[in-house]
Amino acid sequence: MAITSSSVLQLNTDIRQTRVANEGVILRQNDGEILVVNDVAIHFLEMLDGKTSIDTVATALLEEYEVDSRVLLADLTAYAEELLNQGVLTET
Amino acid sequence: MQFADEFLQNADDFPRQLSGTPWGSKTVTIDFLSGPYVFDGLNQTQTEVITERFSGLVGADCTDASAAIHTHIYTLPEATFKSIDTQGWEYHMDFDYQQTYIRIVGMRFMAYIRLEPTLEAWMWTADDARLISNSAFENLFRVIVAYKLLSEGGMVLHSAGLAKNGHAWLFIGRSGAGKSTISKLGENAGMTILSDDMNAVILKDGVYLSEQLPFAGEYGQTAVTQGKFSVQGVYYLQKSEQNKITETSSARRLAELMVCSPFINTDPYRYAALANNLAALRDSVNGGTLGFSLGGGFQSLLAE
Repeated sequence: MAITSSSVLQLNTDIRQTRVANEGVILRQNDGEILVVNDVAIHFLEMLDGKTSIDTVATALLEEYEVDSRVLLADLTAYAEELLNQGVLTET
Repeated sequence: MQFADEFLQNADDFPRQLSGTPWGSKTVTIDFLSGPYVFDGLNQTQTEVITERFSGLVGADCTDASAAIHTHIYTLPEATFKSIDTQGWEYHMDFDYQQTYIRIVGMRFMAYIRLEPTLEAWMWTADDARLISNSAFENLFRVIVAYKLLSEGGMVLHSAGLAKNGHAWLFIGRSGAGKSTISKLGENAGMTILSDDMNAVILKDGVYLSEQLPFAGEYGQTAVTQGKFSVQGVYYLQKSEQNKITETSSARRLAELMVCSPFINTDPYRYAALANNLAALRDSVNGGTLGFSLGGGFQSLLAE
């Protein structure tokens, strides 16, 4: 399922997430799977509200993280596609 | 399949009121780890089997009602429940997690655990003398203990627990990871087995203490607790050709702990609190992946 940087995504309905210090814990309630993600990832997921595109989120994250904008956007898009395929995210 | 469909003839039979017909007027108080846990509504037969199973922990009647966690036990007709062919069936329960309570349905029992404002439980069961042998009592008890410990900064871990010189080390892992094996190896090396299946961790005065849970496992089914031990390390188990400890990332350690913390790790309302408790534990004790050899000797790697 291919997405682009203009895709708008949100957490799937059975997904719960919480921040623990600089990490994020994601619970997939339907199958009891737990994912632990780093600070950037949980920040990214927190901003996917079903209204904001990936590139808008990337622009916001650039204000906090010193990374190349093209690299960040490509990484976030690839990560989002991975999570979409795993059922963590859904496209709106 | 909807909640309770596997176990009840009619899922709507789950009681709508927190009441019922008690089996009898007996009460058993099981005093350990953040308890006491008081079970009322029992008949003489049930009292005897529970007392026999938890013998060393069954205490005098609870005098401090405010400290006790109460479970009220009621009877239900056998016809309420579907018959389960246990041949090849792995024991499990259905959970319905809600904001302030959870409902549980299992083989021949139903339970309601109220979590707020205070922890209290109600159980309806068709089991008389088989209340222990059918595992209903014990499986509900584990869940109650898990939520009690959660509220106090602790947790229950699927783990092998070994102790020496007042210290404990826990070894987490799923079924088949080697918890019973490492327990036996540790015992052969002069360590005390806490449990090879499930151990509790409590936070007391800033120190993490572990105590065995007197629930199913090859070892540790004794109801006589070995006491509380200061937790030095929690390691993820892996069978190996040689004994070694491999460093793992803090994120991975947290994920491993979450996976091995039953019942609450799939509770959408409280898994965040569990994650916080586990992160705090992780940051306070040694950890990593322990590869252990069947030839023994792993204990030399454990720092005190």
